Amino acid sequence: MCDLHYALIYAKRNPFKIFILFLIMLVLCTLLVVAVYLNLTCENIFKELYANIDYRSELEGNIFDDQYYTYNYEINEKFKKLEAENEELLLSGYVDHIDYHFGLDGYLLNFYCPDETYLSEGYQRVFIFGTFQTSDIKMIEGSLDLNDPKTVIVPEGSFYYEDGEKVLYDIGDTLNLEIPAFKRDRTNTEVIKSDLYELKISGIYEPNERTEEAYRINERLYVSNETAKEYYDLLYAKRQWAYENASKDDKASFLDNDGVTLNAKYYYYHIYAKDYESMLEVNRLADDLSKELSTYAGGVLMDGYKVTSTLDEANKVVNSVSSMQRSINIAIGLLMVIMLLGMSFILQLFLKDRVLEMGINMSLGRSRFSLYRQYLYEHLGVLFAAFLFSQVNGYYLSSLFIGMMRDASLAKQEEILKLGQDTSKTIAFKTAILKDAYQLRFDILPFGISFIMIFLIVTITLSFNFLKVKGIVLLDLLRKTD
Amino acid sequence: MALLEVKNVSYYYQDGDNKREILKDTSAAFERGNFYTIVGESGSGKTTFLSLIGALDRPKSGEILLKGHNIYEDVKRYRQKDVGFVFQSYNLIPYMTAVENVSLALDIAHLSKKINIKGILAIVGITEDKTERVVTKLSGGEQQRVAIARAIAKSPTILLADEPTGNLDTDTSDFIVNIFNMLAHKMNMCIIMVTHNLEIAKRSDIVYRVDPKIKKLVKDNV
Repeated sequence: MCDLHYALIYAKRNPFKIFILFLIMLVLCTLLVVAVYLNLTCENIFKELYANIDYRSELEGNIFDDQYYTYNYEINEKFKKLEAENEELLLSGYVDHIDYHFGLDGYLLNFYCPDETYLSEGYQRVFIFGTFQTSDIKMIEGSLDLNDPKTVIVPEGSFYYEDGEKVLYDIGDTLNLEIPAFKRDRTNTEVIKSDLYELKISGIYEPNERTEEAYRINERLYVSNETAKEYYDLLYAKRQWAYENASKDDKASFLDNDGVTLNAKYYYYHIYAKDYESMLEVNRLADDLSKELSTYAGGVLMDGYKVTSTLDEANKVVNSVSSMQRSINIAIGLLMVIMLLGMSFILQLFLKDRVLEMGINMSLGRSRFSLYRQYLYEHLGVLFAAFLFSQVNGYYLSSLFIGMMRDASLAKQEEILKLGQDTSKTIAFKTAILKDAYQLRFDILPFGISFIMIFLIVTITLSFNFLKVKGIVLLDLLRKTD
Repeated sequence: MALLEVKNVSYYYQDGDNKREILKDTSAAFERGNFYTIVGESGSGKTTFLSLIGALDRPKSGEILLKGHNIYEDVKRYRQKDVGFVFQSYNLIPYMTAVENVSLALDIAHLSKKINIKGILAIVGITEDKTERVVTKLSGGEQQRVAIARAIAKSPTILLADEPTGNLDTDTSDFIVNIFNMLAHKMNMCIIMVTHNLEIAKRSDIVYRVDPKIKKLVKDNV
C-alpha cells in the first residue's frame, strides 16, 4: 500500500487546504525560530552587560590587538606619592583592567580580574593578577596596599628554601616577588614582562593545617577562590580574619580616610562595594578617578566607552533588555498557543471533512493505520516545506526584533549618559561591545529546536485529532432510508 | 455448500430502552453465478441485511458464512478480496481520478497494478478521455460506472449493490443491470442487489423480499 503516493495525490488535488496548513505551520515554525534566536541573542547581551557593568567601581581601558597606551595620571596625593614606585607595575601600558577599591586603608589596588571574563571578538585584555607566583613560594595571595606597598599578608605555612631547607615565612621577613604582567586572551596567557619586588610580610593568616581555605562569615562558608565572586568573598573573609585577630593597636590601623575606626561590618562593606552605602562611596571616588583619567589619560577611554551614572541606572539597561525579552517571549508564546489551537481546529475540520473518505477506504479493507500514515505523510510534507521557509523568515524576523531591542537599549544608554553627566556617581559602561552583542548570529540551535518542536507539535496534534475523529460509521456509506 | 450462507441472523437497533427489531432469525443462501435482488418496503431492513453480509456491521445473533467460514474471522481480508461494494451515492474518493479510485481498491487488496484498469473502466462504459478526470467532474452515471469498475477490478466472489440505480436515468440503470447480469452469468460472480424497483428485480435470477411482519428474508416471485 503506497500511502505516500495517495498523500501526494491529496496534496496535489487540495492546494487550498494544503496552503492553509502550510501557512499555519510556517507561522508556528517561524515563531519558534524567532523565540530561540531571541533568547540566544539576549543571552549574549546579558553576558556583555554583566561583563561590562560591574558591581564594583571600575574604569576599563582596552588594548586593541597589540596596541597599548602609556599614560601617567595622578589620582590624589597618595597616588602621587606612590606613583614613582608603582608606575611600572600599574601604568606600564600592559595593564588593561584595573580595579580600584577605595575607602579602607586609603586606596587599595587589587590585581585581580575574573577568569570568566567574557570577551567580545576582536578584544583582548591584559591583566596583572593578584595572585603572585615566585620561584621559591608556591603561591601567595594577597593584595598590595598603596598605603604600604612594601608589605603583604601571606598564608601561614608559606615557605622558602634556604640551603635546601624549607623555612617558614614570618612577619617581618622579606619576600622577593617576581610579579609578571600577563597578556591573556581566550586561549593563551603570555607573560609580557616581569618585575621584581621586595615586600615585607606584615601579616600571616590562615592556619596551614587546613587543606583548603575556609572562612565563615555571616553564617556563610567560603571555601575556594575559583570564581570572581568567590575570590572576593575569600579576600573579604581573610580581611575579617585579620581584623578579628588583630591586636587592639593593630585594629587602630584599620582606619578609613577620615581617620574613623571601622568596625568589621563597615570595613567589609567598603571592600566589596556591593551594598548601597559602599556603592555611594565607591561611586564618589570613581567619579574622581574618571575625572583624573580624563585629564591624564584621556586615551584610555576608547570611543566605545560611555560613563553612566549609577549602578541603578546601569541596571535599567539590563532590566530593559530583560523586560523586552520577556515581553517578546510572552507575545511569541501567546501567538504560538493561538496558532496551535488554530492548527488543531483546522485539522479537526479537515479530518472531519474526510470521515466519508475514511469510511470508503475502510469498506475497501484499508486499515486505520494505513490511513493515518497517509495523513501523516501529507502533514509532514507540508511541515518540511514550512520548516525550510521558516528558517529564512525566522532569521530576518529575529534580526528585526533584535534591532528594535538594540535601538531601545541604546536610547536608554543615552539617557543614562545624560544622567551621568549631572551626577558625580559614575560607572563605566561599554556601548561598543553592547552593539556587538546585539548582532544576530546564525546558529544551528534554532534550526534543530524548531524542527524537533514543530515535528512533535504536528504529529501529536494530528494523532490527537485523528484519534478523536468520530463517526466513521461504515453504515453511512449505505442509504439511510432503510 | 452455498457460497454465502446467512444462518438465523437477528439484528435490532437499541434506542434508549426501546429495542427496534429489524431482522429476526432470518436465513438465506447465495450461490455463485446468480444475480440476486432484495426488495421490500422502506425501513424493512434490506440495507441492514446488505450491511451485515458486507461485514459493515455485525448481527446481534446468528452467523454469516463464506464458503463455510464466518466472515468476521477476518473482516479486513473479506472486505479486501471477497466482496465488492456498489453504493447508491457512489462513494468514490472525491479528489481522485477514475483510474486512481480503481487503483486504490487494487492497492488495498494487494493486487498487481498490471491489471488493465482502463480496460475495466472501458467495460463499464468509461471512455479513455474520462479515465484521468477527477471523479467529481464526471456525471452521476459515470461515477456509478467507476464505482462498479472499482468493485469488480479485484474480481470479488460477491458483489453487493445498494440501490445502484437509484440516482440514475433509465438508460444508465439498464446498462448497470446488464453489467450485473453479465458479471453473474459470464464471470460467475454472486451479485446481491438491494432495490426498490420491481422492474429491475424482475431481471434478476432470484428475488428476496424482506417481510416486515416476520422480519425475515423470503423468496419472492416477482
